[in-house]
Amino acid sequence: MAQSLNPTRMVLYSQKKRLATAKRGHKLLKDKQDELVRRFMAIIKKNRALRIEVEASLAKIMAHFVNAKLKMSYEGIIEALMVPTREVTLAVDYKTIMNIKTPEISYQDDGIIDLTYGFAFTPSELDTAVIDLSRLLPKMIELASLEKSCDMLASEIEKTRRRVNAIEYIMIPDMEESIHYITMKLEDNERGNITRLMKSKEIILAKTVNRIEY
Amino acid sequence: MEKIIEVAVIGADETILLYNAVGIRAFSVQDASEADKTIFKLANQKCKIIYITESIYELIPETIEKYQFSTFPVLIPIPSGTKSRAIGLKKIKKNVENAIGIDIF
Repeated sequence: MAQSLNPTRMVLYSQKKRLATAKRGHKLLKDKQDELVRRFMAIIKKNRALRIEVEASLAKIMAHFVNAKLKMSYEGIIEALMVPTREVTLAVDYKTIMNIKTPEISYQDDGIIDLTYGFAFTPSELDTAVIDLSRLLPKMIELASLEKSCDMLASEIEKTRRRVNAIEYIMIPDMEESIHYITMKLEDNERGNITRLMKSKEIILAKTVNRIEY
Repeated sequence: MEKIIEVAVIGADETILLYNAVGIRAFSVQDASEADKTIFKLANQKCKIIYITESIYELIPETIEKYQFSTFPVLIPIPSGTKSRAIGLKKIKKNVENAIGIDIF
């Protein structure tokens, strides 16, 4: 890149300005990255704990459900579970973390757990499974919003890191190199100029001395 | 007018029926293309959260990627049976590795 630049004072000046901007941008991006990572670490820890908890609870619920399924016919199960006990309503909001719009979903819990099937033909395991799942629902919703936030933060951090690295290891060294090249070229020109002046002075002096001697 | 589905679950077997009972609409699918179509339809209906059982989640990486950068719908893997295949945890691990370069968990 450096060789394609004109070695003039104008270009040198603009390159120096660009370098200053790049350095400031680099510092800003680096700060952004640090802050993003800090936020990310807080969320990802919560996310991991919640996921482990939800998966463990779901496994238990599914075990109950499988037990219930063994005691019932397939049609019976479908019939029992066809009518939802309640409707899930979500309150969706956005939270901005470092200019990234992350979802914040909260579940409006009315606290009522109804069973909408007859107890005569269903085993008690089914009740347990449905009630436990109802209780787990707020956590599952929280998990969803946490995981999405983590996803978005992670990809943003990756993007920022790439930008920081590109500026730090490509742009800044490149500009420094071109500034160095232009400075060297200008100094070389200056030296050439001085030599030329000295040489012309010598020639003129010699001519004058010759004229006086005649 | 049909009620807007806000939370849905997609899975391959009848265990997802249980979610139906608590108000999460369950969609049973057999293969990847069917799951694809269902997710597309749900996304167009402004569905907020779609839980996908792990066995299906593994089959549709392209679809997951497609919705990765939009806020909604949120696609979340859940264990399909009594055993978890730890896809969700692997996802968390991958996120950490992408973000900070090393795996700390």
